[in-house]
Amino acid sequence: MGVGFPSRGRHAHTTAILPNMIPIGSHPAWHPVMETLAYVAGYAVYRHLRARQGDIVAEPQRWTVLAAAAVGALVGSRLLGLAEQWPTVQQAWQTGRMLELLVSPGGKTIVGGLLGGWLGVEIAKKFSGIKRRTGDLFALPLCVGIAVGRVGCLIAGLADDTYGKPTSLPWAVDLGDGIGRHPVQVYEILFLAMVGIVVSRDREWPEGARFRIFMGCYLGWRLVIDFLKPQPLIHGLNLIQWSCVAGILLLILGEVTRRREHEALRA
Amino acid sequence: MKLFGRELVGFAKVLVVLVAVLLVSAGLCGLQLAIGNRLASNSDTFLMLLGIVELIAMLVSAVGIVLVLLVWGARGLYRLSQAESGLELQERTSNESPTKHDEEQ
Repeated sequence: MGVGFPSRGRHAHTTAILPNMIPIGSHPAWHPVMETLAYVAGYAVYRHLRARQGDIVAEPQRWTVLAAAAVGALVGSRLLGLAEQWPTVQQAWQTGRMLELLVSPGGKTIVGGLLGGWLGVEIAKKFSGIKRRTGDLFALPLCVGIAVGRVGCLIAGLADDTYGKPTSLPWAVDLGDGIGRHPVQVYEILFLAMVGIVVSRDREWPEGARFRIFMGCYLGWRLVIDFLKPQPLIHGLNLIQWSCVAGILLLILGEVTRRREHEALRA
Repeated sequence: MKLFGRELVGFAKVLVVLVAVLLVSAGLCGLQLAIGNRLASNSDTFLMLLGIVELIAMLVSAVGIVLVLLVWGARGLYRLSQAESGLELQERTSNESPTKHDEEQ
């Protein structure tokens, strides 16, 4: 999710031009519109869920969690986004254009936002003495928000850093350069629809399970789907994939700790 | 510390709103850039005004986030120190009072 500073020169792939590509083109102006809609949609779903299901924490505590998630997501998405554009950051640093780079649109990543938001909430919970698991109410809104945002990524086309590798599949999309590409954003929207159905199932889940399922599924998905994106690799994976690995390991660690605590309580 | 979230709900709400403003205004800068590239010089004044508004929104929200975080943190620490000194005072009083009582006897 990041229009601007398309600096990696990934447009240089050459494959046969297919007559049956789905023409989409690149319309970066729509990206911020869809991004804003994504925030609105996510918040609307969250409000609806909270009103329907109720909440396990009081409203002031929920606002603390929301604030921590928002700040953490802002910092995390920007940090990972900048780390992804490391050569551009170095160049901006050398030419004294850091401020321009920092206030430029784009350069944000969903994975960074999720991990940053998660970390922010855990820190805030520690300081606020909130013991409950507060993420369940965010699982479905995140699915909806990311899916809406991905529409913007698809329409933004080559101006966004999230397009797919060239392919000759019949559903390849032409983002304006005449090359058929994997519509990775559409794949992700479909995947998020499935995860959304799972996490919104009306059944008894352990506290925090919906969020953990969402995070595990999404990080796992990004770990796999990013192989279809032409991004620079570090030891076989791109930076976002490495972040996903770290996130998955943290999830596993958290789950093991939770089970041990549960067993200790039982004993 | 348990009261941290409950008492400072105002800070939390302000923070969420500021983050939303920063995210949206940062995105709109991109929109403005894209529109500017497309319309060339036809609407320079409008775009410049839009750009100024977005930049102000970005700067105000970014500075606001930092300020709110600082004030929130400072207030939390102040409350914590107050609570701790209150506890110390309580402990001292409870330690001192039996001595006085003993002296009177």
